[in-house]
Amino acid sequence: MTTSLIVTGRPRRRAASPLTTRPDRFFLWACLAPALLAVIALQLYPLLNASVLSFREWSLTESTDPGGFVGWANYAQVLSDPVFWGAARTSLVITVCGVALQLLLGTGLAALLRKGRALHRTARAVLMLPMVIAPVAAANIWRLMFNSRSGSVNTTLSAIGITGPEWLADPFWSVVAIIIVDTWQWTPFVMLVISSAMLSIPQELVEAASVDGAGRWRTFRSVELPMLTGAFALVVTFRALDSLLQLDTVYTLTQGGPGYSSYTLTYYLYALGLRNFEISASAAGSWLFMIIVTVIIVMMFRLDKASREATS
Amino acid sequence: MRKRITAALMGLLIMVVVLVWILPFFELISASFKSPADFFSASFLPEHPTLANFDEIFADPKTGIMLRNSLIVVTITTIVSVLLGTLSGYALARLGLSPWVIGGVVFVLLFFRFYPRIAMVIPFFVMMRDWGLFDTPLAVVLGHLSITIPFATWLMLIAFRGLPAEIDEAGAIDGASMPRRFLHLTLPMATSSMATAAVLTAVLSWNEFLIAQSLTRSSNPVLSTGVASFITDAGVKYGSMAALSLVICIPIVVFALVMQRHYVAGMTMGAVKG
Repeated sequence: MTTSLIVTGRPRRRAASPLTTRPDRFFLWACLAPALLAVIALQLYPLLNASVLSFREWSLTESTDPGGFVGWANYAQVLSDPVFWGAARTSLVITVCGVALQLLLGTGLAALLRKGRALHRTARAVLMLPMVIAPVAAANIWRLMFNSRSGSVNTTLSAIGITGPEWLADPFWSVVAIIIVDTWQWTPFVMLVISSAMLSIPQELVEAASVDGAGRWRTFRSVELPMLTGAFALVVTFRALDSLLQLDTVYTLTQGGPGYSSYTLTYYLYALGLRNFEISASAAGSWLFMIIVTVIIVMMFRLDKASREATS
Repeated sequence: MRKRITAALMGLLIMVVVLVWILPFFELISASFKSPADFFSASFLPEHPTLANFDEIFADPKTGIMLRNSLIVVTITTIVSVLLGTLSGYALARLGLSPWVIGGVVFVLLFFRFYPRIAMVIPFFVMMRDWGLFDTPLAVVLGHLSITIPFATWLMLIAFRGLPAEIDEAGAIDGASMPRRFLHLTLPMATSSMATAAVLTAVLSWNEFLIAQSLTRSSNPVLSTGVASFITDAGVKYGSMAALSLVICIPIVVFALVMQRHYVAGMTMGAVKG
């Protein structure tokens, strides 16, 4: 088994055979052209534009067009803003706690539902539902759940004698609330990926281990877990990136509040650019954020390559 | 005997987990039938069930605009992405590029999937303003296409690389031109992957918020931005918030259940391929 972003079974021959003729190559480039143009116009151009903007002075409240170049001033402005650093810390907390929780729960669920029985299949289909709905809708649902009078969370807690907190009005619990919503929505994703990785483990290996007298848990730990490393690495990077970058939950659930306590990096940059219209400062902040994310993406590729080499 | 008891307990555990996990959906359905007074009491079910919330949101002409805009955006985005993604995925798979180049292309495609969208949104907002498209569904379509074209290309590149080249070569020996071979030999083998790409694109476009929020004003929203707009200084209208959230959830939940096989295949793609 290989775990890979790129290859689905090695092509048996080089894809372009010597039979490829000149008109064929023209046809292929013509196929590629529309997508290539779209990507240049809709991705590369705005990104380059953002990098230029980050060195200019532009606040949309003062002028409708960008002003002169100011060097690194925008970067200095963002880096000296305590809200930026607070948001970076909150983002880190949400991502680390959320992904760890999702990994534990998702793997547990995948192990629980690995058999192909009707109950397991139905459970998998139902558990998938949170991840298909819009994150803004998920956040709205949880605003109902966290409602301190009629919401299920606090009424359940009070049934067992605990007075629940004012979830969304409390600086600490509002961050916990974001982690809970993220976990509810995305644990199913971890479950899906891990369970399909489990399905691809050759059953003979598992049987051989149990013939050799290994118990259920020991088989899982020594035989199956090592074969899941690649899938784990992948799911962690996917989840970590999506969790770092998502705006919807924070926007709908807490609006960054109370105060700045649940500002995440994405929410900070959104508020800076599209609410305060500090276009150039937001562009500079985005590039700082981009560096962090690029490092994670490069790491993902390294891991992917390493696990492919280890298993092939 | 012991095995039976363990199995029964496991079954029970599964049912409990599933119930807890979908409880929020029941709360949503229940809340959308609650009257304002019900939000002050601790009951799970509405004490005075009412359709007033739905009457209210559908009486607002904006709801119709949102539904129409969302349908336009999803339809155009999905068709264009699958079309361009299939063509470019095929081209990248058959151009005979070196593994290095393919690796680089995949890196760029995944980078476009994962980099902080917020970096692109601000220049995009300026660009749409200058093109006169700001606050139109077309601006949202272009914004979504910037994500979904690279994504569909990635999916289709994987799909076409996985197909055996022999059939294509046999067609070439029989004298079929490449466009004919593409249409009649290769494409029929890739329809399932195209469906996967379409399903993932449609779900993404229906649910997407950041781009839609940045490129439209509150007068011409799509569903996702409308659903997020219930936070006002005057307090939250829980009933209509729940009703509208239900309106955005139901179509996509039905769609995902019908298309479950393709959806799961797409989400776990890249993670596990033997």
